[in-house]
Amino acid sequence: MKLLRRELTKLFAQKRSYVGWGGLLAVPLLITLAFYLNRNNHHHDNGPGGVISLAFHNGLLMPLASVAMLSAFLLPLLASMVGAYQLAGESETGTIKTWLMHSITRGGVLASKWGVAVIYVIIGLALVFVGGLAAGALAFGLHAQPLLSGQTVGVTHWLGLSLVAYLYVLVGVICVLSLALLFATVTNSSLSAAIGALVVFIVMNILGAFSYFDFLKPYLFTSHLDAWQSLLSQPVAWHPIVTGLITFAIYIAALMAAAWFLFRRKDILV
Amino acid sequence: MSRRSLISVLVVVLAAAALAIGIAASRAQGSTATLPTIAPAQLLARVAAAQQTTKAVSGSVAWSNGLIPGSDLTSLFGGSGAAPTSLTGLLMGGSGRLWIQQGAGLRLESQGSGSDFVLVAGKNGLWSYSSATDSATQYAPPAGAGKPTAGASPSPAATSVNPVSAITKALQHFAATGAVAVSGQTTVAGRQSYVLTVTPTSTTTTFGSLRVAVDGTTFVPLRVQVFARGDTTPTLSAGFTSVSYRSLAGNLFTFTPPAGANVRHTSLPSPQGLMGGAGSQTRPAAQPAPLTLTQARARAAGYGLVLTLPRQDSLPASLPFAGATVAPPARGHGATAILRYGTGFGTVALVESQGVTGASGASANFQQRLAGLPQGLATRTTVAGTPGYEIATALFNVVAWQHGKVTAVAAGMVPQATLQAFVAAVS
Repeated sequence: MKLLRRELTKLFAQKRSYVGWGGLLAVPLLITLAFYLNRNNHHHDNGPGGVISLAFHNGLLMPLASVAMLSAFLLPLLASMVGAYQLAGESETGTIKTWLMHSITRGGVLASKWGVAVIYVIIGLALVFVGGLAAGALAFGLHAQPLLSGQTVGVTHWLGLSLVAYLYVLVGVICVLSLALLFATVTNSSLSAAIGALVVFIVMNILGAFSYFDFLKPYLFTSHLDAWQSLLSQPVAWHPIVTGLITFAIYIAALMAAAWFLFRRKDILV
Repeated sequence: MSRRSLISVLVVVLAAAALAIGIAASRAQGSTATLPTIAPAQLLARVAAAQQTTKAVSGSVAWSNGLIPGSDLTSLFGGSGAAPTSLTGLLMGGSGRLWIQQGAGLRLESQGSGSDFVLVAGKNGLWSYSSATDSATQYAPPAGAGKPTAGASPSPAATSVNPVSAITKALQHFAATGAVAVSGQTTVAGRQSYVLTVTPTSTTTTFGSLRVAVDGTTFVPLRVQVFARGDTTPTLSAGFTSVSYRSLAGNLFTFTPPAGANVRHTSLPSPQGLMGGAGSQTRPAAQPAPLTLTQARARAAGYGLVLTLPRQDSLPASLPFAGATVAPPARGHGATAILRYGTGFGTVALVESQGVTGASGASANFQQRLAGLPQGLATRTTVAGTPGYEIATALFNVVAWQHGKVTAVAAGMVPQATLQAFVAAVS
């Protein structure tokens, strides 16, 4: 916990943290502004636009519309950058050597780095949620909303579903973050680690996009990232959500175990 | 250290990938036979009986259509892609959930990325709802009388919609025209199942086989696959990926359009609607006896429809004339003649229909229907100097063209070359 507190102090002291959060907060605000300015030109007949399209009529949907847009690329990008920087960034500046000279375990260092990266993502997602909801409420108001399956639910019910969806997205994004942290244990360049994690993320997406690789889909965490949308049907389809959470948990545990194995043997003098 | 670590990471990633592929391969190999052996006739009887004893079926479903090009492509970053927004969109393949309860109705949810398409057949009729377009549609049966109104009285037709029952009936029907065998056992939706295979007796058809996986305990059909002749992967496939037989809540089968949704009322599309008239006509109460060529020509002429018939000397040997029916003009459409050539699955149907709006009107209708077909499915062609279109798939082939006021469609589960030879004989 002491290590985590120290890491948190560093996190809040770094300007780049606020730049990332600001970027995330800007997304729901920009989406709302764009939707508000385009509200008279939007017609349902334009074709399917998913949750994002529904947000044209109800501010209640803005948090989900925002996270649907972000989870395709920007959120994984930010998660890989923060995950990669935690260790490789310290190597770049040379501070990792100072760190590890103290009487602390490498496992503890790794856990605190992982923990602070997760907290960073949680704060980012909270900003997106609150920012999206506030902007959406101002622009379109908050009304009862039909689910994707046609039944109408109240504002509180929808907010509850949105919160559960955000928690699900958080666990999915932690997979990317853990992947970046693993790469950060084998390279001293945070950029290389972040790019490595993103490359794996994109390759997994490509594999999941073609039916030829259908047999691999259950084992790719990227195939489960959108499963939160099952919450928006009644009765809720829990199976894809539970499957997704189990898959994420296996990935996170395996990646962090590999990261711990490699970090324990890392020669910090190289 | 850095290089060794990198190699370690690569080894871990490769090992994980090999493990995943190994698990997938072992699952794909299917399971060993653990159910008692059963004769095909006995299995068919158990399937028919299960219709009465099974009160409810529900679960996740997936279906695919290899007939339409590109139907299995999904969006790169959108997971399963968008849900369809109309009934015809369901034909492109997809996945979702299905609930069926005897006497209560059916509910199908096609789930896409950020949108659902819901089909509910219950006591308040047949409804569809697309969340993407926030539109609800109430359907009347194709040959039904008049348009339904909001809050219409219970529809017996809607509560009787049941794909599992339809598969059972189709199975009984196909069994009469082919060789039936229990070709093995497999696991579908986690249930040990028999595989019932029907292979057509006709050797001139593109239809290879129909394979139905039947739950070994409940005898409910869980998956249906249609194979084109010579293909090892199914051209059409639909089935449960998880299944439950628990009783279902009745409110699943009622639908109320959300406030503010765009609601419309329409008739179900008819498979014969492509002809622009044949499908809209009321069927006679009893099937009339097939007409001879001379009778068909005379009856059609009586309705003002001049038939263009294939030259007997140019017809492929596998396609002898097998009978005809002629429907009179009805509800704003001209007369329609259906002529059948060949037998069983190797049959080619020649449908000739006359529009009553004049040649220009009929042509516009024909072009509209052509434009409405899924992209890449139909290719333009010329038949005896007149514009037409051709649909070539692994399972069936279609050629449609116009001569004067008459729209002609030749279709069958026969090879493309056979159908082209047939069309050449007609034109």
